[in-house]
Amino acid sequence: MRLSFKNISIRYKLLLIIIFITTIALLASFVFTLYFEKKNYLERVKNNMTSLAGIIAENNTAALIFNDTAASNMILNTLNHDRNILQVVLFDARYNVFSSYRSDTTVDVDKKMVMNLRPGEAVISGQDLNIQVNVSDEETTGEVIGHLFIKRSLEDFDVFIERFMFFSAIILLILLAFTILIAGLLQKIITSPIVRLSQLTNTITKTRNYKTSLPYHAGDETGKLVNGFNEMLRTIDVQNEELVAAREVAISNARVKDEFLANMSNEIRTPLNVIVGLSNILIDTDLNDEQKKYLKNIKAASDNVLLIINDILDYSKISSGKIEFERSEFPVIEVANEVIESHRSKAIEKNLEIKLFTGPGIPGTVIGDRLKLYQILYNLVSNSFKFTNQGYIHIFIELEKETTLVYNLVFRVRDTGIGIPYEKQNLVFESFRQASVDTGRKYGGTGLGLAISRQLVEMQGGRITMESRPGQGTTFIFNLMYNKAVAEEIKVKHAELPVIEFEKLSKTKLLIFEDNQLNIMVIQALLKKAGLFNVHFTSKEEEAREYLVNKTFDIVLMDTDMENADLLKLTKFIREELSGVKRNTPVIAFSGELTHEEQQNYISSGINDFIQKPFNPAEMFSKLIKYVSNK
Amino acid sequence: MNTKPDLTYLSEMSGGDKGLMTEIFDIYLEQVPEFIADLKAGLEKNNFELIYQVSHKAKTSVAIVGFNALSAEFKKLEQSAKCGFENERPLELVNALIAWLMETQNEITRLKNSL
Repeated sequence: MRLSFKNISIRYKLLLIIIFITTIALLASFVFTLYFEKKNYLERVKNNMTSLAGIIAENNTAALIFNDTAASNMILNTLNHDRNILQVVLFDARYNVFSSYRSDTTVDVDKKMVMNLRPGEAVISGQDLNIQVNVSDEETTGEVIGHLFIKRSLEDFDVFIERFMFFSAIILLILLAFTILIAGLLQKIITSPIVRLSQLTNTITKTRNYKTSLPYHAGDETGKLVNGFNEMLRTIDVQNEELVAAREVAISNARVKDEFLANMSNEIRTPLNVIVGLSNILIDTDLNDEQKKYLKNIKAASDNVLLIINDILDYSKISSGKIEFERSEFPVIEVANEVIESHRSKAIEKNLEIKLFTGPGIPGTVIGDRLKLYQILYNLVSNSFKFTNQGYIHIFIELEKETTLVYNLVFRVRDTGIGIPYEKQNLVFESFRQASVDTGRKYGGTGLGLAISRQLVEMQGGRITMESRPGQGTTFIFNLMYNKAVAEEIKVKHAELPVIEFEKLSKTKLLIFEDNQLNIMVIQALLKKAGLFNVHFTSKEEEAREYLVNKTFDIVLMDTDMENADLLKLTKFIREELSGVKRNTPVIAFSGELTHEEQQNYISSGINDFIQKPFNPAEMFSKLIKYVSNK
Repeated sequence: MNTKPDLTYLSEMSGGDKGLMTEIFDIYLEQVPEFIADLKAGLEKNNFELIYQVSHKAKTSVAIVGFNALSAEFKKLEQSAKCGFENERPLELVNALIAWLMETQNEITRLKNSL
């Protein structure tokens, strides 16, 4: 920040203003004093000189009359005790020098100047004061018999000014020192509540704790400001609480709605099953053609309603979080074949090819939820059937990655249907949405199938995407992680890992701040084992900051023993300089054994947890899972 | 002086993956000469801070490859160096650990070749 008056603290602003005003006032008073002193001095000098000239003139009357130069000189010489009197000259009536006294003999008297002076009037010329008085013979005629001239120096005033300035400067300094002292004490009364207010604002910005206030009571503006601030904090706090309450109500309302939907669907499904079942029985009884036709329509319509109801039921189950994933061994390829078989009659009816392709290395069996995979594939294939009138629908299964414990399988469902317009492609996975309102009318469906598939994929830790060209077809692609069926023993023996959470872990994005190559190797090996691939390593603080700014991580792991980096500084950076969710990224420290005090110190700096070195796999994974689940 | 490494941790962690174990041994063998050089430098210059840092780092590394007793020794050394070797003589302590580190080097090289 640039140093300007605006930017300096109120404390110093007040101090500067007070000093400025005091100085101005003192200077002004000095100038006035000086002015009046000078005026006073000149008047006094003029008066003195006039009376002195008068007295000397009178004393010299006799000397002039009797032409006694020696007597006159003696009288004039009595003035030598006054060093300010430079010249005294007595002229006769015709301005011839009669007698004189000069403190400085080098200067001659300027007769013309003397003649031009008005008798009895003191005139200032430069640094001197000149006066001329007439000497008259008062006893006889009052006739002017001579002229007396006196030149007096005004330099004694300069000496006075010098002294005056010197003492004034000392007084000014003493006063300033007093002012600063007193102002310093006084301004605290004004600024301390403001400074405290600003500190509190800072703390609140950092901690977001609004349940606080500033205890300060006064009737002045600062008091009002503090009161207003406290009032504002209370309002924000109340509003926050109301918002939290409102959010809870909204969530609970949504849950009630979902539950209602689930219950209703269930209630509808039971009688619907009766209708479908009885229609199946009825169709085999003795009926005439017309009756058979009606019955077929009834059955087709009820089948449709049943499908829709099942979709809604699944959807509400998912959104109310009631869905659970089974973990049992099952053959992946068989599930895909079942989906194909269930669509076989439809394929023949529409004259479409439906076929399964598998890549190399597909495992015979995996551990996971068989029914959910069936449901996802079934929804995608059904969707393809809806929009494809010629060509083919193909399912591809490939092995993307394999680790000691996990298979990552990629599934593709490709059709040669009408495709999805580019501008609608990002909508297809949303609930109750179809590419257009017409789609629903023309092709049927609730618009829930793809939304359900997406949620089923994502809840198992996978990702689903699509590629589509209008007029040429659509491909849906999703991946799922399945634990290896044979790996069960290894897991229990070696790491005792909480197996169920692997899907969750596999999506986790980690930033690891570590410089010991051996530790990096070990961490890498452990993470790879758990199917964690989204990991960034760095040993440079600058690079770590860059990563943190540009990417979002689920967890940041740091070593407490880095040589050239400070994890507390980096943690501070995360907690104070990053924005939004990034600011709350969990930070776990790799550490040796720590004392309670050290731990407290780390925790108060914003570190959430510790993993002890050398790494125990079980501890490491349980800590990671803890912070992924907390999100 | 126990020179046999306890490989339980390493084999559990690597799931018996020999490639990974070889890599870890390689890195360990790269690190040990650095530790030894730093310890010697710390002794020569009476730089206890350096000794503290090295023992701090070596503690973890030797534990990973299974020299648990040595790791404990480094932990002690770390504490002593932190206090500036108040009641001990750093020369004997550090030299003993340097000799031990050299032993581990031979041991790990032998193990690596037998994998």
